[in-house]
Amino acid sequence: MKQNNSNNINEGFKLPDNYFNNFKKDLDKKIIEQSSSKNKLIHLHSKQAKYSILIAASLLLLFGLSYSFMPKTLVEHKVTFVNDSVSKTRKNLEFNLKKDTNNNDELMALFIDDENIDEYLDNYLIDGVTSNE
Amino acid sequence: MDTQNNLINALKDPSKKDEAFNMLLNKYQEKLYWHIRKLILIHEDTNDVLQNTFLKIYKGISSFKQKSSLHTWMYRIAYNESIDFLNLKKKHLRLSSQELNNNILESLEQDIYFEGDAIQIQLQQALLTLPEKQRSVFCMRYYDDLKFKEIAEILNTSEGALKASYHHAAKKVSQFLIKDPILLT
Repeated sequence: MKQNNSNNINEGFKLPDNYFNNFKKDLDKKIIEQSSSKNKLIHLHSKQAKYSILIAASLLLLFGLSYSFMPKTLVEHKVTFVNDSVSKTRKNLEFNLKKDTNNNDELMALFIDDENIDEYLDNYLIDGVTSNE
Repeated sequence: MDTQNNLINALKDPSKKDEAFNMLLNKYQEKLYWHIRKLILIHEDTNDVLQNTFLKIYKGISSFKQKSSLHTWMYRIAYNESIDFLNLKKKHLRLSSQELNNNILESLEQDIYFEGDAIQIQLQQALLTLPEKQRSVFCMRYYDDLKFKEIAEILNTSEGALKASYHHAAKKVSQFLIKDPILLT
């Protein structure tokens, strides 16, 4: 059960006239076309291009919506809120510094000799209490 | 062997590539055409697949590692391109394998480059009932007259499995043809 290529005509299969000569010309054209287009083309209908466009459009829309539709009062409120927070933090820091200073004085008192305690109390702690008032 | 090596070396040499490729084309275009045509059946589709095959050969020859003969390597490309084409067609038209075979058979009967009679159409119908690999093995052995060793290299299968596959294919085709009264008259 073997058959040679020369018997293809007997199988009913035909070819256009001069097919192989024309095929050679067509192929040469295609090779030249593909060689000349060195840069890789990304077709707009390819999956890769579709996903890229979709992601870029989504990001653009997201940023656009965030800035365009944010109320001005909200922006102003944001600035006021930040300023308030800064001043409150500053006050807290000052308070803590003062508190630390007082604590340091009390701490120092623990290391003063009994003989010198009266003098220390007179000079530092009592002065501190009066100045706070 | 030396001639083949010379041809491969020329194909890999950019200054000689085009001339060598023309030689290759002259030598193999007809063989590869018929190899593809017997798998695809329709002339226009075969023409597209043959163009893609030679484009791949032209582009890929520089990386051809000579693990097989040039002849086998080109047949493998042609075979893969043919199967890819059929799978794409099936996917594109959303058809089952059976529906695709019916579609091919209808197209063959309308193809102006097919003038087969009822018996020849029946033979193609019988071949289309075979699983893809069995049909490929049958076509390569029956039409292309390739050796089992070469077919094994093209399909990346063992010779033993191929022989069994060819035997099954031939038996199925015979049974299909015997059942039909056209051949008996």
